[in-house]
Amino acid sequence: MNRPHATAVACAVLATLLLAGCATHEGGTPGFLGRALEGAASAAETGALAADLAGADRAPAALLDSALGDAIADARTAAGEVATRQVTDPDDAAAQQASLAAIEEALAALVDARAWASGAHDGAAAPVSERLRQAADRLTGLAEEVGGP
Amino acid sequence: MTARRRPRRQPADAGYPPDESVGGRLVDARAHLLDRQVHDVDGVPVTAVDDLELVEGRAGAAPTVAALLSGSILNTRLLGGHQPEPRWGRIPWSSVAKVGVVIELSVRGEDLDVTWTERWLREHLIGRIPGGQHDPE
Amino acid sequence: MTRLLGVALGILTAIGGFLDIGDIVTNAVVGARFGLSLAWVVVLGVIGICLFAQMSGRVAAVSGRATFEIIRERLGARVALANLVASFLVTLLTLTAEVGGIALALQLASAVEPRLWMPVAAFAVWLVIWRTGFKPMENVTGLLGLCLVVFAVALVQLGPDWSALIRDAVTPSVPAAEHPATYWFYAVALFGAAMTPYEVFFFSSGAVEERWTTKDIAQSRADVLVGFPLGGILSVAIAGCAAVVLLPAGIEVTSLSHVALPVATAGGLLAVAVLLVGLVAATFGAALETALSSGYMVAQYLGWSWGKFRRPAQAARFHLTVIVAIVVGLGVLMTGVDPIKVTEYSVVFSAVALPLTYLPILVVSNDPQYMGDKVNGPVVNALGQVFLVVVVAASLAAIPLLLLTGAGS
Repeated sequence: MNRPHATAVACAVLATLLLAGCATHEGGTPGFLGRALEGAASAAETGALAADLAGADRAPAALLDSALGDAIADARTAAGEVATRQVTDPDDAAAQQASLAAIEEALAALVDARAWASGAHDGAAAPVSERLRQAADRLTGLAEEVGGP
Repeated sequence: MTARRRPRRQPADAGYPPDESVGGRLVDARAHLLDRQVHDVDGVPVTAVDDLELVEGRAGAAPTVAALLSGSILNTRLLGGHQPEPRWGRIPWSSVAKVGVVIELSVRGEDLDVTWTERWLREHLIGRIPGGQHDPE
Repeated sequence: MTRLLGVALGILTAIGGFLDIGDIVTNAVVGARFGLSLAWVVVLGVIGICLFAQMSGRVAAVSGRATFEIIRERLGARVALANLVASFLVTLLTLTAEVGGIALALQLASAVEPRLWMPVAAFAVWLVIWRTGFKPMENVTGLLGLCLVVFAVALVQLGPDWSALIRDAVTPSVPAAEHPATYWFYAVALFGAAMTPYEVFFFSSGAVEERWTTKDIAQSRADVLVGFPLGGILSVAIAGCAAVVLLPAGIEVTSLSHVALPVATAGGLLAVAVLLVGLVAATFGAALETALSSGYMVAQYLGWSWGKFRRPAQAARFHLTVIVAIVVGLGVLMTGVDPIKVTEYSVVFSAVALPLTYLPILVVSNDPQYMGDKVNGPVVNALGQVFLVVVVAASLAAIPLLLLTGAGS
């Protein structure tokens, strides 16, 4: 390759690396926790929607099981991200603890919902989806608190 | 003596004597031969022309096309380098019947060296899978 | 009467065949985050694909040659090779996403893990390519894919606030909670999803498979100009369903089940059943097309005999390429990578590869040596050039946006 060509390629590579560096998410630990909490809230809301559909018999069992299974996987991912985050600040540590607790709660609710949907225990849909919606609200509220303005 | 030269680097008229008027068509080797598809006498695609083998004319006459080349020779054309002669995939110029949008041969593709991968795969792999020899629906 | 039926069949198949896993997932993701404020990208993408599919079909019908054969002749071995490498890699990525999509759709229907469905799906794709004729293959997957009309029906059944939706679509803006870079990233992704590079090669090779002549240009024009926009409407309907059901609840789309939930909300068990048929058909059809396209590209560049109209033994290298592509795709999927993630990357890289695949079509369809007097008219050329600018802009912006937004998170 001749000189101008090589220089152009080098510039492009440099620019790409710079951009990749900038891509680290804004907000540091609070922003990170906020995103994880929102992901878990999304999973909880999905579970609530699935539970409602199950109660109204509007979706086949296979779809509901897949939806709840995927939601559980999402909640676990969020929990894993929060748990493995390295914190150095006392405020961040407290936020991490609170986030983890809230996500685990949502996860438990989702697992129970999936068991209910598969017929593991009786009951109406309302308490199941209500529990999930409350978990989601808690998560969203915490996300706003933790994630900052 | 066989010399394989790359048409691309040749200037338009490198001191060759003017063409004697012969019957036939004048074609530009780079535009009409290179990178063209080659079909056999039955219209079945054989390969694409990856390069040309030119033979030095005797005592100052213009070089002539000895063969169409295909196969791994393309690497040397794109990236440079040399390839030993036995590895060139040759289609002798005598097999060429017509030069048009595609280059048509007067022989069957089966009889050519360049299609050996196709024949090998047919015999050992594709032809062995059930249904491989069936006519399409 | 038969002619009318033929025309109708062509159009219906075009609608049903328009959507693939990239369209389905990307539109749902976008709808759940941005509502309909990116609908204009779908419109832009549909116009683009109509333009270029029409051009490539006309090239094949008039010249009797498929695209890659002409690209190499016209633009030289080096440029064509760059084109081939980029297009092949992107098509391979898309194939991987489609096979993953088949497995995900089957999971929704059966609750059996996708990893178990993937080898089955890959084998089925190969088997259909091996044994089924071209036309029946296209017709069956296209007509069954029409089941995705259920998204439009579902949107109506959900009884949304139409004025709000229309306002969102017609006066697009970045939602307050989102960063502009994320908005534009998804715009590029949606554009790549709509203007899939492989479509152009598949369309022209298909024209040669079916032995189109100039008489078939009119039919293909109808298929494209009526079928594709209607398919585009379904894309927007997918985004609309997600916007109405998922967006208010703060649900992000991370799996195919999210795409199905709004349909269940709207239409219940019957709607879901229809949807599942449509999902499997659409992804299966797209898997067939991408697998064949990988074979077409390589075979046409290297001058091999190719095509489903030949006995497999007479196109051994072509079929081997198809098999290798499917096996590689399956291999990638079996490593446990999330098929949804693969889909998201495939649409972004589709956007990156667009200029390389579309510029040659524009050049060739203007070349009287191949087209005779059927070269592009001035309107088509003007539109084509405008689109080239758009396509290059999207391609250049894709990777920086991908890095800046961390793939949209």
